[in-house]
Amino acid sequence: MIHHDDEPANAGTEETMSRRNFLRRAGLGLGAVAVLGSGVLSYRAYDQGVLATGEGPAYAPWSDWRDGGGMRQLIGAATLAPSPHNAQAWLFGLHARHIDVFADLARTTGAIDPFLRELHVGLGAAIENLVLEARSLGLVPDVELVPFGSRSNHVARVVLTPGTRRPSDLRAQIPRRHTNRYAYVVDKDVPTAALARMGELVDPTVPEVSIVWVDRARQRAELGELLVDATEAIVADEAQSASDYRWFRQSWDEIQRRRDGITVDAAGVSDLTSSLAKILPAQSQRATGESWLTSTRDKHTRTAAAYGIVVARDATDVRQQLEGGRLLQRIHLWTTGQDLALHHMNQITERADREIQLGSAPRFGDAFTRFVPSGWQPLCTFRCGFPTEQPKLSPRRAVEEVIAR
Amino acid sequence: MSSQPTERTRTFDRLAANLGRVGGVLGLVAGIVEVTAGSSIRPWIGNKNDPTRLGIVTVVLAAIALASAGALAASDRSLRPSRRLGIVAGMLLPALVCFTTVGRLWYVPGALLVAAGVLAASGLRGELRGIAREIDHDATRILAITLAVIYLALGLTAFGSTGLIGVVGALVVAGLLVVRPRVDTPVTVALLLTATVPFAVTTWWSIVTPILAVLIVIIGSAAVTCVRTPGAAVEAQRSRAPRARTGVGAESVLRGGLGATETHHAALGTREMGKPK
Repeated sequence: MIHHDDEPANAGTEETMSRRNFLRRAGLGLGAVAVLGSGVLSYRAYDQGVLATGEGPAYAPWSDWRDGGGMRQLIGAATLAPSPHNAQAWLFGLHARHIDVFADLARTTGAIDPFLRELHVGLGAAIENLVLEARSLGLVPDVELVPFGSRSNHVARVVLTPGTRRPSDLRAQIPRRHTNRYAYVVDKDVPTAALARMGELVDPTVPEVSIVWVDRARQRAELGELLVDATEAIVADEAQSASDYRWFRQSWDEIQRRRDGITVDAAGVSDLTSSLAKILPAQSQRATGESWLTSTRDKHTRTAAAYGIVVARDATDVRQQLEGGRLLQRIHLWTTGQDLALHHMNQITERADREIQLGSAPRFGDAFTRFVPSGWQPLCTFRCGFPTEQPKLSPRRAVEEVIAR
Repeated sequence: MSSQPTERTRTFDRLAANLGRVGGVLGLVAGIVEVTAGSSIRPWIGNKNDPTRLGIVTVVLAAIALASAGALAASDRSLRPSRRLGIVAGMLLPALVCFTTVGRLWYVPGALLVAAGVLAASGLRGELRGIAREIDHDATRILAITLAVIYLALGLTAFGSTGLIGVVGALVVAGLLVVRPRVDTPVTVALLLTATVPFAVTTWWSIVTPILAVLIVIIGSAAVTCVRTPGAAVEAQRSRAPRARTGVGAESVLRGGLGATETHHAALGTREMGKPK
């Protein structure tokens, strides 16, 4: 080793060591910060169920809805039906030979559905599931709608008598059916034969309810514009926006506890966006509304291959609302079996009802009539098409929670 | 290096080991009860939404506590500070965490394990300097192991085969960090990549798993290989050198710690700095 005359023998080494020590400590500090940050991020991801999409008790009914058998199984099938804002506003009275269906008026969607039109459509869908499941179990269901009049929340009594098993293709789709809020395949129309087949699902014994298709490009675009305008109006209406936001579940714990509402997972966004939305702080009412408007404008209406409008002779009649819900559910189950996607879009009727409630000019009420044949009134609307993504599960309440005591 | 334990420390250790073993066994029972009958006794398990998974977590944590208590019972008289710290953490952390996983069923095992942890921790008095030195020496590895534990936790929260990939990957990483095989850096990086990438790729949209995978590969490879680098060897030698051996003596220790390559570089550096003759 050669030393400088004036330097201590280990000066170079000490300097190197000091620099190395400094760099090492700086590196460790950075590493510690990175580990701490990733730990916080991971905890947030765990806490929000980022890696547990569609799991947990809130989603268990999709797989164990048959548990309990018998009448409970019928209710299990009913609870898998769609409902406005996934509010699941239903209660069931379990009896030896019949099941009573009640509207749970504590679970309305407020200013979004001021006259309970959608609530009854959702109950109709649940009744249809119940009926299909009963038939598959060898029971003959006799459905009496609004047995105590339309002012009662007792919306149906389903009397069940033994008969022969009548399993159906529609019934097989009950646990597979989900609302698909993703974009649909562009420029791929729903075949006319499929639309005709869905038209055949109209119950000939219920002439007051039918289906209208809006499948031509120009009409589709016009209806799409009206839907976007209606969404914009809802977002701008504080009461409707608040009612909408009340059913939006952003906390994983809340989803698992309440087992209802619209979730980020079921909102039809990409997995990456969904993860970000869960990890970041919850969206405000305003941001949620804007996000919905953007999706409606840029995704839902632009990729709709066809719109279906369930129509009724009198859309304010509870019986017809319930029958409309049953027809809507049959169509949804049929599309599921054909690997078609369906998404309920009721913004126009929501605005029309709101206009009536507020006594304002019927902008949307009037505009919607041009899509419906004379003598019919729009009851509820949906878009359908070919899916680009498979929809995620929505949370469901357990059978025990919906049995009336 | 720890000094010989006092009689009181030995008594406390024995007591802590016994309490820890009883608490660990009761904790295992609590976890098993939660898994098997949790949904029927929800008030007893704190009304948990997911008793099966939380029950499994409880079983795993109780097993760690039990193993820590066992390690304390089996330890020789001179327990290294870092080892004692590990045992204390192995009892205290499960004890505290499980108060949030299994409700009332954890009250008794939790209390026993906390008591055991505190008793075992009493043996750490006067050892803080030694612990700090050992932590400083192993800081990179501690960071990497922390990341592996986080990765493992995320693997456990994911479901099905994806979750299994995450768990296996995290265990492989942990194994590498514990064993520190004498392989080249590229091989270490390749092993870490193999362990972390599958889970990160299958769950890329989660954002957290890719970030963790990158950190594990960077910090983990440093942790596995740094012990063999000359700098670390010097640091290690320095930390082990007795205080009396400073100055020339310390220099000779440092030199002794340098590998052949490092000695060569050091010599070159000195030569360049020296005046040309």
